[in-house]
Amino acid sequence: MHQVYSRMAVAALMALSTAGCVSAPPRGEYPILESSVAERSGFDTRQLSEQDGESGVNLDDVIQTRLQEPLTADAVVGIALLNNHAWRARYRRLGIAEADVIAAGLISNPSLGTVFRFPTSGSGTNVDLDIAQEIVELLMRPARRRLADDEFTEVQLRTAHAAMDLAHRARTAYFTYAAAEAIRVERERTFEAADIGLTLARETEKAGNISTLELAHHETHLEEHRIALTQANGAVQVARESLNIIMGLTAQEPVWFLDMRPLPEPSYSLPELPVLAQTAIEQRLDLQAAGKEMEVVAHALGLTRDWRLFASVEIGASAEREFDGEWSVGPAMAVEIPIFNRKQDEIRRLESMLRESEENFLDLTAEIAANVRESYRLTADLEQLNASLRENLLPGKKRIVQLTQLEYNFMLVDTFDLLKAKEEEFQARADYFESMRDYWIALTDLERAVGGRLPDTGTSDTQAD
Amino acid sequence: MISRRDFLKLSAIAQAAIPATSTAAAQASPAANPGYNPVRTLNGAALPYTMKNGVKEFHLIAEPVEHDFGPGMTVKCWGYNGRTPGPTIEAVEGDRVRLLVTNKLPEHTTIHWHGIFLPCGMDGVGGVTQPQIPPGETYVYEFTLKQHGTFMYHPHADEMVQLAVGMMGMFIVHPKGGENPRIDRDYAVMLHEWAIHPGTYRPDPAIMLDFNTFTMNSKVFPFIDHLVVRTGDRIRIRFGNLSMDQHPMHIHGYSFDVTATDGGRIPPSARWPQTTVPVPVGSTRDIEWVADVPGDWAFHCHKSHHTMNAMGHDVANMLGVDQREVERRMKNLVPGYMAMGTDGMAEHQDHVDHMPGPVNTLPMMMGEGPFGNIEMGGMFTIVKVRDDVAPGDYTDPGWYKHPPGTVAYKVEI
Repeated sequence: MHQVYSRMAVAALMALSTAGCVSAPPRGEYPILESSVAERSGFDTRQLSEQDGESGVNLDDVIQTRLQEPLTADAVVGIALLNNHAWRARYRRLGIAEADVIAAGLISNPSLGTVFRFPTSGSGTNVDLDIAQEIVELLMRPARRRLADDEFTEVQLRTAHAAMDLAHRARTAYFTYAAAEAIRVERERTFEAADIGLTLARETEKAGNISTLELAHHETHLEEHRIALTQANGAVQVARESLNIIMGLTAQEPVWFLDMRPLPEPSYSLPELPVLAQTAIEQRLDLQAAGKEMEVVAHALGLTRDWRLFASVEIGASAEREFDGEWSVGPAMAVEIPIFNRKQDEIRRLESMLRESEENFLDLTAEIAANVRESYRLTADLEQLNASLRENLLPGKKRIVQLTQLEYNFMLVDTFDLLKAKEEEFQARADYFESMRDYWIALTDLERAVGGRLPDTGTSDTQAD
Repeated sequence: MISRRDFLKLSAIAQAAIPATSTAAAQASPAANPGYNPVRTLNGAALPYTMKNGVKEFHLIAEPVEHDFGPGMTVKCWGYNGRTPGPTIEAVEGDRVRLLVTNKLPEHTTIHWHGIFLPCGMDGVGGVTQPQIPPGETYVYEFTLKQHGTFMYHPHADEMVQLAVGMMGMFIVHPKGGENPRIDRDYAVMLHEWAIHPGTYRPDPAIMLDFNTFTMNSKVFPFIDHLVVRTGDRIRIRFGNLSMDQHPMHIHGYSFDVTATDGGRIPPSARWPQTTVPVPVGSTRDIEWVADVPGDWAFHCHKSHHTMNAMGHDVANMLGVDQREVERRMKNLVPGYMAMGTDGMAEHQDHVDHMPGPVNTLPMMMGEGPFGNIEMGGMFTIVKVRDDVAPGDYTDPGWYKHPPGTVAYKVEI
């Protein structure tokens, strides 16, 4: 009897001793997050942890240095991943998920009870000493650790998806801003042309050659352009502040400027739609996370079902000192009997959650397929359109200006006709920049749709610089 | 009345006789043509004829023509025998003339003989006096000339279009027995107006009022031949006008008598002396005078827009407008821009060599004289009267050498 109890005690003690080396995950190491994002974008999420003061690198200094260079779309994404504060908050939540992993490895502390009794008559002291340790948790611990690792993987996948989302938003904001700036320049030029026209009209009226009615037409024409210029300035402000938020800049007036050619000509030739659809299935992090969630819920459901009859088992030892000073000692055990509660509620909850996860997964699959088709077609159409604008519209408007100037040279048309041709050239350029912006945003949407890098088709970098 | 069979036979002969190419006929020299002093068609030629049993037989070919209004302005016109205006027809009162007309146009045509008395069926009015001549076919007109004077020939089928693109010519009938007084220099000038939009190669027949190219014998200044005259010559100029506007033709340094219309000679007591003869639409006018003062005498339509090549009529009026600030700012917007018109348009002629215009378009103001820019275009030329021109010599003698003291000179006041 002694021997059996001794063996049980030794086994429990050994399990306890290993449980004492609680192998919590190393702080700040998220290999799934880092590798997922790096594979799909080339960006390093790991830098964030270096800024926690351990390597001594100052985040502010790093950001300021980067802001001094002309910003490309990639540069903006890099700064956002370091400095966007909403993203940094999201990143911190990984620490909370880490805590859940730690929790999965913890077991309850043993309890030590003691009772002193003093006789109401007579002498002596009765002492009860009990020590008890919950062991079902201990036995379940490896399984719970595996489940917790799985859950942690899912959290990292979702965080990685959030990082890719931030990159997508940063790029979209970049192209929006670049186009707004370019369009603003054209509106300034148009305003100058209209102002020159007004100046000429005023001088002509002063000379007595046109009526005040005709002058009034020129004056109001300028105001219409003033409206357009102000709206263009507004669009630039809105786009710039969007980027300031995305890059997490908290200065009173953040100072930075764009790369020289923020909206270059497309250089990526689209693969066929089935290739893109396949890439999406392989790369989309939210899809992987949704799949992982189904696994995790199924895993939790299995674990709950398997252990539903083992609610709680405590083993321990008990010692008693009689009033007369005699000690007696022996093992103790308490078992919760699963009559009423066999985790029926937990099982039902997890079954429903599993169904829900399955539907969410299917919903996401449909959405992804639609995203890919839509952004593929939009990108292809806009690429064709922009090639035509570059080949036909822009040179055509330029040619109109040149040919109008030849007629002006022979006094066949006047300065107002020349100004009108210039205004049309500026409008065409603004239309072109809008269309180029739409192309780059559509391509960025396509990158997001396929969950990261676009398939290599042997042409130069798909990134915008 | 010619029978249909004979008519067809003649057509066959005519087809065989069609010249392979429509080249310019040489100006006939007086010695080769006894009976009359041949007319000089500026920039043009006379239509040759062959005698067939006492009938002067001429052959006109109505066809598309690539015509230079001047170097650098080649226009797709329609004309006769490779020319616009067509070659001048010359005959003598009393001649029987036979005119073969071959149609090489893409549409049908006829020829009407303006001012000539003839049998109604030879009058050339499509639909009224004859069926129109289909493309590829040849018709014959034949009649005896019962008058002398200055007449014209032109289509009377799709007339608006065919006139607009250049189909017309002079028809001169000399009096039997010569002129009295003798005419030493006899010139034929067909006046016309065209709408050739800048940068294009074809006249626009739809234009009714806004013509931009004004011609003598389908040429513009400075490409119109000068009228070369020996001092003391009696000179006659015959005008025809098939344009949409009357043209007041003005001579410098002389006055002349209007001696004939397309209705005939004006009796001497009824002749009007003028320095400007208004030539109405659809008319001819003959003027005569003795050119007894040497010099380079301008001779032109007096409508000032008609002595310009193409100009813009809708341009803003820049006369008197201070354009300095505008010019400075425009140079940033349009490199090579120059303000124009503040002090008038004269300086324009100097700038067109470094400021090119649309293709196939002549500048508004052209021409260089011995004293500077002439600044003209359109219906402008010069009558060059010289002591030392030989009779019958029409070569251009160059610019007049003014005797000392006869040129306007500067004085300080």
